[in-house]
Amino acid sequence: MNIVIIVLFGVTLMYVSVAERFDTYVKLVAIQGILLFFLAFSELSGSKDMASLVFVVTETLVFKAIAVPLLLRSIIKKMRVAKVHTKALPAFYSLLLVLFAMGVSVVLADMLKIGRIEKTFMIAALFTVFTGLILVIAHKKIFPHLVGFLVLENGVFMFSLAVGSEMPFLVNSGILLDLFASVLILGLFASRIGKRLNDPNVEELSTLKD
Amino acid sequence: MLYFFIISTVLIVVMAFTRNALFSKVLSLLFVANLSFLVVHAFCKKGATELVYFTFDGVGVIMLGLMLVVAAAAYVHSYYYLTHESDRGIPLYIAGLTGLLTSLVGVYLSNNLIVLWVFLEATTLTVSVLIYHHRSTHALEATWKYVFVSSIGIALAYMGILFLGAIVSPSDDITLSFSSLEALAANANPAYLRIAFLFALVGFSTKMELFPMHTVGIDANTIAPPPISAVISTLMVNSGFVAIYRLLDIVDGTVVGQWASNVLIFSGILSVLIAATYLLKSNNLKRMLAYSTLENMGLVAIALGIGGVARYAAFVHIIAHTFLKSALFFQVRQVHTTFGTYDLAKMGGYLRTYSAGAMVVLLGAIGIAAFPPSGLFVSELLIFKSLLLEQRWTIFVVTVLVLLFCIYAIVQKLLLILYAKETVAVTGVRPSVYLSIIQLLLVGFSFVVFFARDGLVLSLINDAIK
Amino acid sequence: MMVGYLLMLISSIFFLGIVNRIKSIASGRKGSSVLQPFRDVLKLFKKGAVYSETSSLLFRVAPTVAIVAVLTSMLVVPFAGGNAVFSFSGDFVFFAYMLALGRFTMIIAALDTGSSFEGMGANRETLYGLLVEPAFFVMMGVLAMITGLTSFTEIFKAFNTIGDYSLLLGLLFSYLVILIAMVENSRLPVDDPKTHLELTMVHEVMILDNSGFDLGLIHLTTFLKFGLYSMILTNLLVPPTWAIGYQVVCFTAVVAVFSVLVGLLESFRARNKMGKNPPYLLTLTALGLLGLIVALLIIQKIA
Repeated sequence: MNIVIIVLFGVTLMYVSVAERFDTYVKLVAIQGILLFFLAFSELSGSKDMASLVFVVTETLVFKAIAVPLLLRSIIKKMRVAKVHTKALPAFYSLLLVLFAMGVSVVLADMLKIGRIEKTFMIAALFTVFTGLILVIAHKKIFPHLVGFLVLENGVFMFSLAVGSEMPFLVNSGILLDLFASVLILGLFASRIGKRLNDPNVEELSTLKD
Repeated sequence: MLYFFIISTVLIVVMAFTRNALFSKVLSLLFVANLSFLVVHAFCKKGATELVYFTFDGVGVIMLGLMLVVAAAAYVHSYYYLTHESDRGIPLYIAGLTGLLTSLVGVYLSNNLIVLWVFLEATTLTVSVLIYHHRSTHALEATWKYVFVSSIGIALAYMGILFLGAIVSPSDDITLSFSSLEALAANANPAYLRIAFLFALVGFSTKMELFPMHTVGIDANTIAPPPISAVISTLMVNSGFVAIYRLLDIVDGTVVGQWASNVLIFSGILSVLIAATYLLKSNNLKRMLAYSTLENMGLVAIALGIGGVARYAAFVHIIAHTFLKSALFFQVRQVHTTFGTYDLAKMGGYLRTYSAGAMVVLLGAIGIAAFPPSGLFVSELLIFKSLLLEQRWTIFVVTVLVLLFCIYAIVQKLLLILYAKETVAVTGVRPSVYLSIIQLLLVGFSFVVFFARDGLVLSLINDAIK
Repeated sequence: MMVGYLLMLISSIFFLGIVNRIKSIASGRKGSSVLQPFRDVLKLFKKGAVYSETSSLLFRVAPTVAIVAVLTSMLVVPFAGGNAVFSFSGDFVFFAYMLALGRFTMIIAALDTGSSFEGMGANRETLYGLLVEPAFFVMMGVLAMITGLTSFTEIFKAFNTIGDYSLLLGLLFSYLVILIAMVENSRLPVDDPKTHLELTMVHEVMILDNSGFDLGLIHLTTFLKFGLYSMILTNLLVPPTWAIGYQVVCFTAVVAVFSVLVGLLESFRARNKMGKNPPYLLTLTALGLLGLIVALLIIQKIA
């Protein structure tokens, strides 16, 4: 069952790398949240710790699948632009990079052969992390940076699910990271920058230069 | 330890609501007293573990001592800055500063990887409040960049921690404390250790201002108020250093140890190289000092990578650098008061205008350039000596050449402030002499390191590198 | 077996009719009868063709070559776990390149007319055909790798029985096949068959100069290709061990669902900006590569 969810997750990652409109980003992030909810449920249902299972699963559903997309939507409404800048890396090349990242994550996961982590999880988590980084690097506007960070978070979360099924403490601190990141970054962005800068183009955020 | 945290939290909450400057000063005095109690307590109980997660080992005690000195100076300078020059938002600033210092205490003393990581997150939070103090668009830009890139770094460091967590077996009840990780690392899969080290290094390099994620520190230092820049450039990079040093301890005895040291050396050389490039180009005084921090941290990374006696040199370098850099950053505010700008091309004739400050700049320049009697001279000499002993000629030559450029750039630009002809009208405001005396004291501390042959501090360092 | 061949021929008669009907219903109209496109083709067969004076023999031969290519490639596709009319090792390569031969002749014929519009359409068609080819080959390569065999017949005989996750792979590849079919037949979102602006056409503009019998042949080619891809879809989804009666029913169901899906997709999807087509097509290859990794996981070459 896990492999179906992971394959769907991989499909969303490919579409995220070619997406151009901010609405598409929000939809894909919401889909990823829902997929992670199912994944968390199926992964942690075997453990004996009911409280942490409920905590993790609720957090995934409420935060990743509902709250974050809503926050992103409200940010889009405040901004005047709704599309990725044409000066960013073209979608063709970012998709090529993402495919290359997929290959790299397969090779890396192969190198880490011995371990208690399921290989599929490792590949998926590494792939997600790399895709998030590629999103941040390839784009020039703040919104894709945000989405790239959220994708990175999802990758880390998936990885913590894989490792932490025996160590719930790790998973909990991963959740902490999630809350901190979403609340701080998205909240800061939504409240301050959206108001201040009318065209949130990162190129404008380059006055601090030498 | 528990008392320290409780008192600090109470103080922070009260400070956040106090608008009266005098009351705030009293509260900060209480905090400094609290901190000094902790330092004394830690020194007496060296080696003990309190609250399960905090150990008073050599590294922690050294860092705590440094923090006490710099923090006291920071508070004094902050109050001058806030009341004489800009009196917006005292409560948030002071509460943020105290919060930052408390989180740093947590980082220095923790003996568990996850606790260390949580406290590092807390430092990011508190520092971003402080960077945003001016509330201008520049400050917003710097805060946003800082929060964003730091969060990416923290997430990557968390990946590294997860990889390390994977080598802990589930049957025993072993936590992520450093001692148990060290024991386990000997039998762990080297590929895991390598990837964990790489991810964690990239993540922690945001804090320690190393390549690859050094840019946040540079921008933060440029925009933050100068007392905060002093704290960031010294105490926060020290926290990054502590994190990386503990990480190095874990992988040290294993097969990956040599590889990890090489990675550190590589990262250090690149940091120094980048610092040299930008130092030659830079025109902004605060930015220049920030790049000088980058260069010094690169040297520390190289020292950690070489190992052996160079580790001792790394600690000496950290101590001397803390004192020197904080003094320089505190002085930067007084330079700004005199000239009204941070632009180096416009400053000059500081020696005539305000001699006490000029003395600080002069002695600071001598210190940063690592001339004797600066403490940095001792550490750099030791680093080069161990490079030659290990016969690593390429690294030696590259480091010396790049360092040459750095020193040329810094000394030239700092001395320009003193002797050149100024192109902007001097504002008549006279900076406070008392502050300059404090800064001279700090510089003096760093010179004392040069003369120290044995004693309290050195024994602590030896304890730390065991 | 001829049953499969006949089924493909029959289904192609109805396919586009269903698509057009669904599109009409989705727009709120009643729409023409399901047999209407086929009746249009029969009407075209009765007319004579007009040939431009600047075109050569190539232009007159091309539509015939195209339909013969499609009919030939249909010969190697099996049905219901039985044998195809011809099968030999590596016949999926033959299949792909027969289709490509058909497309190539059409492109050359379009260039032969000397019209700039048709040259532009030929240009675009070449690019999209180029980009879609890796997707198809990755998919077939993965199937060949899993089953260890290299002929359509043998691959589909062995496919659905190789493990628990073959259905997952089948679903992923069905999605891919549907998208590939829509690209190869010049449907949305790559090319809009209903547009009347020549500057925005890809396939329609290539056949601007054809008329009469030739035009009928070209339309028939498109129908046949749809039937062909439906057969491949059935082979991917339905296990080969089921009885033949079941298989025929499944095939009909697949044709119905496929055509309804195409109709709905066309009704609700806008056409891509020209510049967005290459990334869109690369997404197809990316999906194929994802299928590759899933396949590697299944046969436990990794993990």
